[in-house]
Amino acid sequence: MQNPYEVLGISQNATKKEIIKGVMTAMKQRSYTLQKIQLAQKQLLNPAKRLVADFMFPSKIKAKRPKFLSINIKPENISINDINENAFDSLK
Amino acid sequence: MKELIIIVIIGIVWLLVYLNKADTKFKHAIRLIEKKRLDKAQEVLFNLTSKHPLAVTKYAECFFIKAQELKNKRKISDAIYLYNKVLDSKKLLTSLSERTSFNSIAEIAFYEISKFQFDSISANANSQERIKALKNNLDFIQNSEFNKSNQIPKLVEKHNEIIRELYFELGKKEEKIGNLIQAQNNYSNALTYCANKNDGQYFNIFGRIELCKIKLNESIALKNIKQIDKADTNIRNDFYFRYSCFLSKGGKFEDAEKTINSKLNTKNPDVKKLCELIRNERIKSITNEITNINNQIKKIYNNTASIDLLVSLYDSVTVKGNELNKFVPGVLNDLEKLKPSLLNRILHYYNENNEYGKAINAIIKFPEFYNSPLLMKNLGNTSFNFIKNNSITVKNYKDIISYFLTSAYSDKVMLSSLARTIWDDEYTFSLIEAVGSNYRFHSEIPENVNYDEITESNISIGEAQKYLISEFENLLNEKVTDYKFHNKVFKFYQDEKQAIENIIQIIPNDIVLVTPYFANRFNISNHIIDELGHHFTEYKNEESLKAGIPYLNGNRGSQINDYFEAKKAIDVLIDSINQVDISKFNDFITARKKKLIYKFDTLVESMESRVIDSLNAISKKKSSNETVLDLMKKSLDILPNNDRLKYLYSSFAANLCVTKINSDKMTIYKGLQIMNSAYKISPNDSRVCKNIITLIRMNILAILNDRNTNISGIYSILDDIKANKSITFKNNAYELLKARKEILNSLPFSARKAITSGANLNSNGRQLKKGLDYFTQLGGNSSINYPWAEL
Repeated sequence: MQNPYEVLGISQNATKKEIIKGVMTAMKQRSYTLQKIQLAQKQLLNPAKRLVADFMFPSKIKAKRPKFLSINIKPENISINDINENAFDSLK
Repeated sequence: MKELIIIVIIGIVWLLVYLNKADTKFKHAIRLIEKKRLDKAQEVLFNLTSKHPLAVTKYAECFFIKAQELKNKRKISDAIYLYNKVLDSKKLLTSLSERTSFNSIAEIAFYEISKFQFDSISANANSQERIKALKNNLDFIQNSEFNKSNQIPKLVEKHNEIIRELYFELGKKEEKIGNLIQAQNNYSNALTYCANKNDGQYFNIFGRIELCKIKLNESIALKNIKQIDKADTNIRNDFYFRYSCFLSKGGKFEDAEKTINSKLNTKNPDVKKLCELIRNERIKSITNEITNINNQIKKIYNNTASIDLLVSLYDSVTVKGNELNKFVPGVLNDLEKLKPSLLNRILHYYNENNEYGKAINAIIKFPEFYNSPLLMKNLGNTSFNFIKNNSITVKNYKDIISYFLTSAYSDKVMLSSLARTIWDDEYTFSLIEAVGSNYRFHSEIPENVNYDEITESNISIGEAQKYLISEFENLLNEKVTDYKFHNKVFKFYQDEKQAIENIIQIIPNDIVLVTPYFANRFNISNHIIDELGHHFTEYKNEESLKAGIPYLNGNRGSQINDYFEAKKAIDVLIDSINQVDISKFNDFITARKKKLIYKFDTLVESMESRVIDSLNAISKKKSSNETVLDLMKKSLDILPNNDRLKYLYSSFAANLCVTKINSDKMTIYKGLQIMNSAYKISPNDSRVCKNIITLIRMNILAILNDRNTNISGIYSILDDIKANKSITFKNNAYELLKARKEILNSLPFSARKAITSGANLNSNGRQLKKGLDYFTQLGGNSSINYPWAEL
């Protein structure tokens, strides 16, 4: 199933007029065969089939604008060299 | 006088002979030893070495006694000289010599020499020299043939202990000055002198080796760490503290924390300080991580984030969030909020680039994506496009088909698609014909959606779904060209489709309805199983249980599982009948299974008709097979009140007996047994009654003619029948009275009189009377009155 909106070069919200106009443009451009253009037109003018064409469009899910993360704690200036590794020296 | 001289000469000669005897000389030597005249004794014994078996032993013993005396006088070197002389005496041994006794002396002498040598290795000498000397002495001991004394092992152990301690001390000395490799070598040498691998010192040495490794910044094997726990506390603490520092240096802060918490005293100031360092390091790392994530978010804002960056962030937010949340509470929640935006961007990219497989993977990674109609719609269209643009394979066909069907069979998904559509026409949409819709049970329904009749302006959502599904089927047909694979794919497709249609018809509640494969893939079959179980409890509709079978995934204990087990049991039962396999029947159809089947009415009904059909078919094919009769009998145990089955059993039994007895393939006794069994099941079946009456007659006559050996068996069956005569039996029993009459008529009058009176009968007469009495008892009460019946 070819995406009819793609064939006619129109948006998902196209009106009937825009569909007809899309058909004319597609026929001039000859990017698709006449059969494909006619099929696309038929599909978009049939509401049930147009519903299927719409189903084939990916939809965006509800998403919030990504927020920057914040951190309130700051690291202190402690180094591993400050640690006495011999603290438990078993050779003493 | 002359006589006296002769006597004296004889005496002297006898004495000389006596004294020259070896045994006499040996005894003399022993006496010399007892008198401490050791040199003299040795002189005598030396000459006896080839004449007396114990001469060499006693000769050596003299050296040993001398050596012991010198030892007691602290004349050590002289004593050692003499102990060695004991050993040297070995060369005097001859074939006559008794070696065991010599060896026992030699072994003690050898131990004394070894012990002297061990004691002489000075405690003040240099460690390396002591080790060398001890090793030499060990070699000396181990290479000698006289090292069998039971004191030797203890002496060897002492050597080992000292060598081990010397190496251990040498190791510590090297470790102290930082010669860690040399220290490790010494510790390793020390380990080789540890006889007991469970000894505390063994673990201490082991611990020191591991400590050297840490000091050398080498990693530690996990199995080695477990050994350290058995070392002394000071070594353990030293090790775990250094190990925690080592892990921290390597950025393994979590492991370091775990080690500290499980192995060290966290109240110790030095441990506390290390904990602070670790926490600080983790904060540093978290700060860097958050800065890194913020930079990535900045790129998302600027639309400069690459797909790899988006995917990597999308895949890692939960893991990172969990890690960061320990230090920055709430950050996990903030990170999770990034997911929808990231997924939208990822899907946009993949859809634009026809990378539908990757798009599917991204969708199914979204938490509980199946609860989102929009994501399910995306999953549906992505699955469709995946097949369109890629090859469907053995690996992916189940995923793709189940994703698409679950999506297409959801009215919510279709409505979510509708909600995103802005057309210029004033259309409304009807769910009246929607495929798999359960929306009527939902409280909310969009304004432009209804359940009204379909018109030109009230569009059928069902038609759209059907069209979508048919397009998918067309696509599958087009893409799957291999015949075998095509069958496999479509079988799976139909099963999935049928299963989801079944549950949609039954489940009224607003739960996620998915195909079985989908349910198992995402582990969400439980709620479907529960819903179907509740539905059965409420409405007793077994269709709900049947619909749940494909969704069973180890859900033991559920109603559906019981139903499934019962159904399987019936299938096995039918198989065993069809295959005339009585053992399969007996093995599988247990009392538990029978109880399970009887829980479900429709299953019992279907079992009844299937059992009868199968038995009917098999009884025609195998009319002379006795196993078929057994199978019928067993089936009657399960279906005891089924008249058709009773009739089938009786007819089969009658046919079997007639055919086999007539062709001499069955005894009349066996025939009586079978017919008795059939009579019990169908006591008023006229054919059964006629046959059993004939067999009763034949069996009694056989007894009377001495042709049957199962007399007691026959009479037992006859007693049984006698007590349970049916009307049909009675109506046909005149044959027995007739037989009795004929027998009596064939007898002379006197015999007949004797039989009827029963007086003065011999054993044959008594047997005849008994048989004739059975004829009367079984044929009596016949509803037809025959004149001879009175006889």
